[in-house]
Amino acid sequence: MTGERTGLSVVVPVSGRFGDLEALHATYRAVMAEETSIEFVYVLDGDQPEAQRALSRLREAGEPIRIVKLARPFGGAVPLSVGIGRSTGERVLVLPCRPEIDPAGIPLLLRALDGADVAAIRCRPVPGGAWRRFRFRIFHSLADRLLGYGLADIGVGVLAFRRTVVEELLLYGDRLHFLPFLAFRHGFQVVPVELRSGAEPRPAPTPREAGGIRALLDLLAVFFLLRFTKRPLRFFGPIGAGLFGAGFALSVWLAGQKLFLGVRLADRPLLLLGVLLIVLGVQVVALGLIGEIVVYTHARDIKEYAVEEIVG
Amino acid sequence: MMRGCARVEGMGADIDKDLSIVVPMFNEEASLPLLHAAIVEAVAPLGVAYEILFVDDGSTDGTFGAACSLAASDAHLRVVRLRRNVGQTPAMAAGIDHARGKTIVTLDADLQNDPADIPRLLDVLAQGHDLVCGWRERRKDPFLSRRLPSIVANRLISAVTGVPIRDNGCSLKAFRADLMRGVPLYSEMHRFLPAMAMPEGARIAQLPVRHHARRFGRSKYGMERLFKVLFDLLTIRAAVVSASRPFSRFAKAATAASLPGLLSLGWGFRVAASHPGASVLVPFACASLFFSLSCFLLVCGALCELVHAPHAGRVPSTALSGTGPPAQAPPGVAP
Repeated sequence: MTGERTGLSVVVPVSGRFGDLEALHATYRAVMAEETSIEFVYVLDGDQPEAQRALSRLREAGEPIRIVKLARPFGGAVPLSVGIGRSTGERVLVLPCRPEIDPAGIPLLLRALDGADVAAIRCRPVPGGAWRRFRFRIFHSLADRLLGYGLADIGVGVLAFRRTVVEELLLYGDRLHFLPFLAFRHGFQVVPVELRSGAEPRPAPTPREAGGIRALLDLLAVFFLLRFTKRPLRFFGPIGAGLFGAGFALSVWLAGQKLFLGVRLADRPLLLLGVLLIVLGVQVVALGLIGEIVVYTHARDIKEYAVEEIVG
Repeated sequence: MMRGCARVEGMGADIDKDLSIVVPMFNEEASLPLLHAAIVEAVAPLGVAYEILFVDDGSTDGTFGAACSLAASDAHLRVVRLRRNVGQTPAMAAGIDHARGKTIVTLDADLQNDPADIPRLLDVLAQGHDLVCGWRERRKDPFLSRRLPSIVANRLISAVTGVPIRDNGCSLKAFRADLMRGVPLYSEMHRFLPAMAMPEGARIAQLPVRHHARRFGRSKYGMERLFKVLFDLLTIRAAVVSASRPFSRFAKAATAASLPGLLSLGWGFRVAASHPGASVLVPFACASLFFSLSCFLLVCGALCELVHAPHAGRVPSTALSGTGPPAQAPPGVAP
């Protein structure tokens, strides 16, 4: 939150298709020329001899580069997590290994970090055809609804944040893509920054990109995580109670028919539905209760607050 | 947000005060100076080493500034500012975690509790109790919207938890700090603090306290909390009251679920006997559904036992503390 500039770490996960790393590094370095304390962490996702050779050459030329090579290709957010874990700077900037964004926007990002903890990045124009843009819009309005903050693109490949944020939020895996949302919910300062898409558009949509099924599941997982991890029964309870209530009402109605109208129940499959709903309702509530017991058991280790400062 | 052992991290090391007054506050700028003056007036004559801890729960008005200017003139006052609004229970947990007193008193910042009651609470605490809860004797709230839901909720909470507390909503409480550090405080569980303290073996007393109508600001609670309380109670019942034996509770539920299963089974046989050739699919299917639920609940119980087992050996903090009631103190030790 303080305005002073301290060490900057640039994390570049190198996976999938990548362009000319030496040229890319030169571009990145050029736009961040005024940074005095800077380190680059390149994470090679598995064996990539070509990239490794290029990076080694840069390293020998005196560039402040660390190369982290993963034992096998992990994909997803693993290279990213490893890179952030291995970096040391107080500010962390994650950049793609392809010229997907216009590097002219990077100084803008760093300036945004001066007064805030996280930059919420959107990339315009959205690459791809109309269908992709449509899914993109739907997904982001849903994210806005569920998470209460719709200003950032998800899975854009660029992140900028202060280290305290990841240390406190305990982010791992694909949750990293939701960093601006989570940070906003935890009271960190988030500023929106708009970047221009770069020379090379982002590759074809991956399953994990905004609008895909995987991204949707990630979104729901994060929503659940934010709202109900401390009180699972508040999520499961109403669902279970609703199912149970519906089943109970149905069964009572059928029992009434039997008692007062003499309708035979043994060949009324509707009764089965009633009983099924009751059973389902009890099961859902029981699951919620198990969740509560797990939370309670670990509650002594849970800290739900973050102290900003202490005076006196 | 969740980190191992965070609640004890960096705390408890410097317990050097006798008394901590913990006040969680959210947008209470107007009432602060009065509150502070009233607390000092009540506590200073006691002649104990005390501190006042204001926990600013992410206020959006000038609460923090007002608290800081008070702290500048009073060395007893400390202000803990939380990064964002987290709610009353976590704010209270923050206060308890940062308190340096052996005894902690909590109260609301909105002046509905009267700090003048604090010495009486401490007296009762000194008589050998671990937790003294105030209850608002003559509540100055509208009956239908506030007092009636509160009465219903309190009755319900008492019945379910088995701890007959008259007024769970009253924040004015005094307790031994080491006891409450063993009580998990999260979500909105402060409402059930006495019940949460029971597994720790707390000796609880109650004391009527004065209640003033709200002078500044608006109430932060409404009628909708009754619904939440219902699910919370289920949690308390399952997690806290019977935390020691989760399997037996689930086994009871499983037995209860198998009863309608047996009834359906009997019904099926009766239909088969009285109407040969008639379909008995529905009764037998119902029976198998209920039996499957019964099995499911048994498995749930086993799962809970599994989750609970690593923590079952934890010794309640009351058993760990060396301070008993003064009556049991060995002769020659000054009270």
